[in-house]
Amino acid sequence: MSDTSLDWRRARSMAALKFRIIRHSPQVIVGMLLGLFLGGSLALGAISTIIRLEDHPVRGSIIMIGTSVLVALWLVAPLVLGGGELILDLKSLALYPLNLPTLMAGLLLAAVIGIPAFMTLLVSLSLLSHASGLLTAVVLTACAIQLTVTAVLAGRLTVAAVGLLASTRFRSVAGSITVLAAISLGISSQLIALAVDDFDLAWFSTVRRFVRFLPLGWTPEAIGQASMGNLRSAVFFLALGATVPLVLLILWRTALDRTLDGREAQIKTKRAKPLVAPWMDRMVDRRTAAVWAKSARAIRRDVREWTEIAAFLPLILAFALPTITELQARDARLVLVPFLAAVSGATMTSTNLFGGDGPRFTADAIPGDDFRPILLGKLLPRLILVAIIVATGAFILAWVMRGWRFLPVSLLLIGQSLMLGAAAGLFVTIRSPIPLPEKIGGFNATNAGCIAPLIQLGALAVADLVAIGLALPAIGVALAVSPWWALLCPVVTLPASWFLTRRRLRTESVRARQRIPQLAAALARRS
Amino acid sequence: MPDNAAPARTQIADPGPIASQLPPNPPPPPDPWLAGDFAIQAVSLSKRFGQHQAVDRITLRVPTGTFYGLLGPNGAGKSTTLAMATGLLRPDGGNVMVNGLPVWPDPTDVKATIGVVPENLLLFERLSAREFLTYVGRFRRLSDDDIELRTSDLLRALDLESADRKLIADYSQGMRKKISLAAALLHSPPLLILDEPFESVDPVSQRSIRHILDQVIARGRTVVFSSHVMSTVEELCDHIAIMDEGKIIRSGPMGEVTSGRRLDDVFAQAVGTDKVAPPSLDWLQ
Repeated sequence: MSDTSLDWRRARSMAALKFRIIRHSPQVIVGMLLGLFLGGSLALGAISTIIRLEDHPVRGSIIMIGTSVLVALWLVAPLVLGGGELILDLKSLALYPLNLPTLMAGLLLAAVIGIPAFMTLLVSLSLLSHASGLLTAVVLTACAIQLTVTAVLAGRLTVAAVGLLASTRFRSVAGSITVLAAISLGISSQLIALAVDDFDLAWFSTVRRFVRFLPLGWTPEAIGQASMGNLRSAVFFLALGATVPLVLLILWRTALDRTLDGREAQIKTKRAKPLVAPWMDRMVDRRTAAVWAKSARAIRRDVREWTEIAAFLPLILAFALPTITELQARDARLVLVPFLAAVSGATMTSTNLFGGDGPRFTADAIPGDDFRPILLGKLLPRLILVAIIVATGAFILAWVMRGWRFLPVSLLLIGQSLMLGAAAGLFVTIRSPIPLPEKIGGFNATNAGCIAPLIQLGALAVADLVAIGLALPAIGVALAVSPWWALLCPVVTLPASWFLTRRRLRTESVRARQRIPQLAAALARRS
Repeated sequence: MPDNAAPARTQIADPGPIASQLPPNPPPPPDPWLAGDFAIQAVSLSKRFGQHQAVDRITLRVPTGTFYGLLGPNGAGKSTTLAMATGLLRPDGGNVMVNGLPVWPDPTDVKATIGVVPENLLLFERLSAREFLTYVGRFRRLSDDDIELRTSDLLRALDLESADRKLIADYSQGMRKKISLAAALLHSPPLLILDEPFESVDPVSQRSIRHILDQVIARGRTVVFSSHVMSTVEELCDHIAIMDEGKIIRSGPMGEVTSGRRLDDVFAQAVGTDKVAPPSLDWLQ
């Protein structure tokens, strides 16, 4: 019979192992310091808000939503950060005679001794400031501990699930989606200004009504009730919420068990996908589809691509989005504006077609004599990315400004502007390929002679001017007559944009063919 | 229950300061762990990945005290078989006993009685060699004094002493294999299971690994390793099994399997010459 008893000594060794590994990982230490700063600021903000809310009439709802968000963050963060299982890799631990209870205790201990858990407990315990008596204080303390345990277990479950569901691929996709959402939120961040004016606190109560039906909302609901002094309801939800960590524990144990005995390998095998998705092959020719798939994969996997796109974001915003004052005016006509973000985004991301995979550029370039598939294949994932971001921005604007009627024509303008931005980007990427720094933090001396910011900005200005010129008829009709009649204008301007872009693609592909040695030399300089 | 010993069994006799200091060819010590006839017994062991039958109802018996080579071309099922025997991969069917203990459903006890060098090593890269061995020792419930003594001996024996403070992440492939072997040997297990231990290892490191393994065998322990390098297997092993397409097609003492022929020839014949000879690639012209 196997020994299934919990061995605390080895569990403690696991926690110690985590910190020993962290000691040798400067990147993790930097991340932790950053986390300490950001988490500390957030925790301080949360604690001061909680203390200030002491006599607020809807404090129960605000606290409930706030603590629910805290638990949700624990659940979601490992999808993007994914650090936990990299530090204490379960596969490596599986070699040793550690039974499941000991492994779970060790992993939990390693998770509990950390900045996020400490911050969570600190924020939860600050709720004691709302205690009106000893009994309320006891209930609130129990709630705080239960909330922390639930949050930590939710995080562990996600980490184990990520490991189970084909770790790297799943995490990269989840990470991409999250980054996309974050960028979209970044675009719409100016909308927060609207909330300052007439934010409706009743919103919290409305949301609370839904959230308290979710299991992860039960302990937060107990906290909300306790902070209002409703002890009977608080104890009820506390008891209900106590089942959540138990369920999380069982699910986590199952996920760990499946990872330890290699059953996750079968899931990965079953989920293997072709390198080039069949739908890509159906949309474009085989060679373009191959470059497209490769480029999309490079963008998804290469953090430098993300940092580059993120670095362009302020520029896109600066050129293209309405100001806070305009937003506060709630002018529905602003829904017509995001096409400027489209042309800027398409130009900026297309000026660096050989960015992430520059060193491999010659491998792409040599096999064929026609460069169009290579250029088009590299353009497509970038344009799709920008299209998603800008379309999301347009939808958010339409929703906030109550300008749905302007959205169809706005989307058409976005489409034609993407093409124009791509054409301008093509011009720059072949005339003077933009280098991408190998390390975050530096356009340095080694990039000299390669970077062409003036050409890039010049191309952006030209593309913006052309895009404005082609969008003016539609905007004029939309403002002067009707947004529905404006839909007729792109009948002319869309083919014109298509023609201009296609011509640029053809010209630049010929030029690229002639300039392979210079391009390869320019790209090699940075690596 | 002490954990560097098997459950319900007496603790293994400590071989003392590790292999390098052993006298040549000592008599095998009496060891209750080694009392059984077979270090590994697998019966009808199967594993399928999707549509691919990786291991197909194999029966494998590894006699105790042997140097056992598991041979086969890439994808033959060697690593899958060893993973199932070491408790790292649950089989779809069949049974496997290691050192007289059933591996499944709970492989924890078996893991205490074996040392494993897996194919992808599974090291904690951000630790120095000494730190890594210290934590391995703790996970195996060795006392601090034992950990210290054995770690120093192993690092010396494997010529890693000068790099003991360096992070494993900065090690060469040969050094990584050696530190993985050190971790597998630390608790002095009666059975060592090594998956491709000589793959990508330079000749100097190969030599020191072989030297250690020879001494482990001399102490009456069992070593099982997978490989597709015939010369290494021929030189080291006294028993072999040849796997192909998830099945064991030949097994037994080296002399019986080869019958005086070269192992290369026996292997090529066993797996089929059509798989060994490459196609002509006429289209290259």
